Amino acid sequence: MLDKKKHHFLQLVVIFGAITLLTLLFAWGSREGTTSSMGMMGQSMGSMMQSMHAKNVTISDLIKQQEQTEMSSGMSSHHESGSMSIKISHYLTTGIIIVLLPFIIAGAVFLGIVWWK
Amino acid sequence: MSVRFDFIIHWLWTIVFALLTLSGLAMAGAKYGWVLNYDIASADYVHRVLAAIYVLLTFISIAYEVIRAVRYEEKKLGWFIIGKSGYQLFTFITTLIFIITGAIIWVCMDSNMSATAFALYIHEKLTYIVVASVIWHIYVKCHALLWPKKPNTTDKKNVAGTK
Amino acid sequence: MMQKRWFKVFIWFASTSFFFLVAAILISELGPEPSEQQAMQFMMGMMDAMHNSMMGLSMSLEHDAGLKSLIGTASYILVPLIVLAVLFGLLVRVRGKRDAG
Repeated sequence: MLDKKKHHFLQLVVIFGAITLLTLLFAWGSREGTTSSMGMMGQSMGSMMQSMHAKNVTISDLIKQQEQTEMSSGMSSHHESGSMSIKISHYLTTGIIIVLLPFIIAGAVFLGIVWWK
Repeated sequence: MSVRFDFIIHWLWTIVFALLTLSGLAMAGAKYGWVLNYDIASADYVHRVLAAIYVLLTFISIAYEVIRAVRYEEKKLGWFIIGKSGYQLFTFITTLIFIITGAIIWVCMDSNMSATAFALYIHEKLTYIVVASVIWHIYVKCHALLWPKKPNTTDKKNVAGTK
Repeated sequence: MMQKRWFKVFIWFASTSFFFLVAAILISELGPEPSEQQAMQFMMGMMDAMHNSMMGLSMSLEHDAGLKSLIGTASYILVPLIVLAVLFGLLVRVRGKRDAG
């Protein structure tokens, strides 16, 4: 007999399992005719960048700064087009994250020491 | 009606994390774009604003735990998102990895492509693990999905219910 | 709180949204390769994000003197903060043990 308490969970599993399966079948079925493999685009961004930039990367590569200034200085003029509200939220969010990150790391180190058995 | 601090943080965190996952998935690759109808600009905006809120919530939680540790409060916070054992510890560690890799992506996108690629890889694969773990979390705690027997319970029962 | 009706609805909504996320991941991972049109749409979306969202601004972070100095300050205080946290943590531990024993 199924656990009464887990009944709702199993309900969700069955419903979403069915939706997933049907969508997958439909997606594969509707693609029978057009088979054009895009190669790289099929991957996720993480895997794509991994294969592009981090295939045989060493630890020192991760730490040192790359010389890309001349490339990005040309690009930066394109990116100045953002509106004011976007700029404000950019400064605000970047500021929050950069300022709080050292405190979060230090707090985590502290808790790690205090909680260690 | 008494609502506890850890209870509020738990559910705020849930909402923020769900939205972060949704907007992050839309940006994860061409395969995933359909999630938000290929509107990467909105997804990026939402993801970044929510990331700041997420970091803020984490900071508040860690500060709260640090104060508790200094005062030697041993009482376990049942609803809190971080803690010294079990799923709370898992959430604590994965959250730290999310925030650190996210910050690397944010800051190094312009200067260090290999670091960005490496962080992006971890950030993405960790998402799959954590979302799967959330399903497991729902499975363990799925008594919360049961509907109340009587729709309008008294306040006395509500206080007991929050524990 | 947990027994309130609207809160139950909210819990159901939250759980369902996580199930949806898993379904979305599974569909995307196990589904067919994206068509050329989908890939193009994704690229267009990315370009749009560069111009009309914060992604572009964060890509020119290197040229922003204010934020760059903020990053410098943050990384400058990181190591002292960690050292402080270690010392403070050890202090709290030692004091707690002494009080208990």
